[in-house]
Amino acid sequence: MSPRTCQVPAQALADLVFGDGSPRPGLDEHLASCESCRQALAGYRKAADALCGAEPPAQSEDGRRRQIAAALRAARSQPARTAPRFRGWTAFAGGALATAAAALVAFIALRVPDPTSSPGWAVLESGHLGEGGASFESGATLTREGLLEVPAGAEAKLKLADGSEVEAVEGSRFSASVAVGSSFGLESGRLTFSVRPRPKDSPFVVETAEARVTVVGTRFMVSRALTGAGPVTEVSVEHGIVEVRSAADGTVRRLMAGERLRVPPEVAASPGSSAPGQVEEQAAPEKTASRPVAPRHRPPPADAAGIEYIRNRIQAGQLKEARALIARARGAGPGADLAELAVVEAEATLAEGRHGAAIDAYLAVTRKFPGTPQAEEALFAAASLAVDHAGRARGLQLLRQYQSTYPRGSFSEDVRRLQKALGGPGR
Amino acid sequence: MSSTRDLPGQVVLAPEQVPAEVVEKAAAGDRAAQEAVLEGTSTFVRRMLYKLIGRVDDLEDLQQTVLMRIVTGLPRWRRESALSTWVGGICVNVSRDYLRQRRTRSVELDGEPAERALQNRPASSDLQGEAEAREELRRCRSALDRLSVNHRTAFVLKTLGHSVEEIAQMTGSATSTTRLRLYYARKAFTRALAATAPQAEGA
Repeated sequence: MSPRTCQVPAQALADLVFGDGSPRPGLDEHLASCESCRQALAGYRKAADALCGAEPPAQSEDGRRRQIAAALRAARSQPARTAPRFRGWTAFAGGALATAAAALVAFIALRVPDPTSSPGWAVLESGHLGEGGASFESGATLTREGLLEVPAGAEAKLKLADGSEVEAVEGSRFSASVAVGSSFGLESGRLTFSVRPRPKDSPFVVETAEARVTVVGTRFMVSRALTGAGPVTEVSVEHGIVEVRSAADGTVRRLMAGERLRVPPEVAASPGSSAPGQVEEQAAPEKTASRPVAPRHRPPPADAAGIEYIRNRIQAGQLKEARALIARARGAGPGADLAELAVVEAEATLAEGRHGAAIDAYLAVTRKFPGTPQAEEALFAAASLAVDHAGRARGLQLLRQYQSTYPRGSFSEDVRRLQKALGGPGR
Repeated sequence: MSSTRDLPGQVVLAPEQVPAEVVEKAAAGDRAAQEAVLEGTSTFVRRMLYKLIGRVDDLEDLQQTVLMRIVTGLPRWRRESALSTWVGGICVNVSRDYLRQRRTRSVELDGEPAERALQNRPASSDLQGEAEAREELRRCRSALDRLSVNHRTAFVLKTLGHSVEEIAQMTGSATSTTRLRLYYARKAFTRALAATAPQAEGA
């Protein structure tokens, strides 16, 4: 419980320390006469000092040199991606010949698998992959089972030791384990598999947070993406059969060629929530027996803690749940902080990537709750978003609106800076 | 070439001070130049990672990961930002992955790293002051742990003195998003800090 009794919000003092340091108009004068605020400000400065003053243990010169040498060695052991530097067609032809020769060697090596000479679990047939600090190029043998990532603008095609193939699109993040059978974990992105027929005691498994896909031998795709309703895993089958088990409730579905299944996220495991995620089939609805799900959420969050919980849901990508909670909180009666809920709703819209709608939502806060701190915050948020997503004119218009409504507002300094950047009157 | 005394007993060379021609050579694969780039950035990387993750455990591994990524990434770096911003971006990516992994494992201990962190400050005879600083750092880290990884990262980068534009570049976000993240991070941090405030404060 804060001992402060002063009307100046603590946030204004915290912003003085953790923000840009530009004081609210009149705050200096107030601080001169308010002991309570001076103490609170000193507390925030102490916190800032503690954060800035904490230093890592000093590294010995020897240790530093060893680490640099190790990093260089590790980087060298990975086939580095160097920018192409062509010096005319001869260099290009030479490079092409070398590439062709390398490809031929790789082709022969792949056609004649020799487990004793190739300790890796896969060969990167084409494209690029990153793993921790390492990057792999076409032809690289993957030996470790860490988290792999396909860099922006790239794709990757892997050939596994048993001849199965995996294609990963840009931005995919996945891991693999080949200790028993083959197991892939997909964090995000899309993987397409062509799996060679394999014995039943050596399963081929792909897992995401929402689903576990077990394969006998087929060609299928698993993708995981963040949608408005949270992360969704989608499985589609081109040939053969796969079995998909929902991580939420263990429901199993068999997917045939040409079928597709979407597995939405598990309902957040909050106290009192036991409803599982829903498995709904899209490509073959006639076979679907989707169970309707009525998630049981926490009690209606109308207070600050509840709003905090909704914000956490938004940050976790659980936007559908967040919206449901907002709606319930709005109906919670006089205890609900409607202005703050409206801001949270705008945040949810922003989290969905709908910038135009988010601007409208913030502006709605300014109209419905004039004179509240949320209205000021929302107008700045709308202006700030408009600068980047609604064009210069709209951005400048909202910045002017902010200035005229709050000539000595909390965001005046930010507004002036934005106006200056846009070549407006803040110059 | 100027240098700033930063960590106790160490002279820190800011990454901007690595000459451009050395960076060019390093990008082309020159081993000595690569070593020079890592020499110039390793302390910066260490400090930045430490501030971002707030703990000593795994720091060495993360530092090495970043150094390795610098070497492997230099050929692809387009020189559109300062070296510090690019290296900072690598630190941000590595630390974000780390924090997310840690968060999923739900493990966070602060007392011990806070102790160690303050041991690295210049020696002081003010034992009570040291104890208070240790407690303050514990509170701050506890408050940071309540922030989302994106908010935490933006907030810490701001306390390190980076501009909104630099933070946007490092985190790969739009400046508007970064501004809003900073705003909400400040609010969340202040709230979290208040929640851990000692009862006697202000008495």
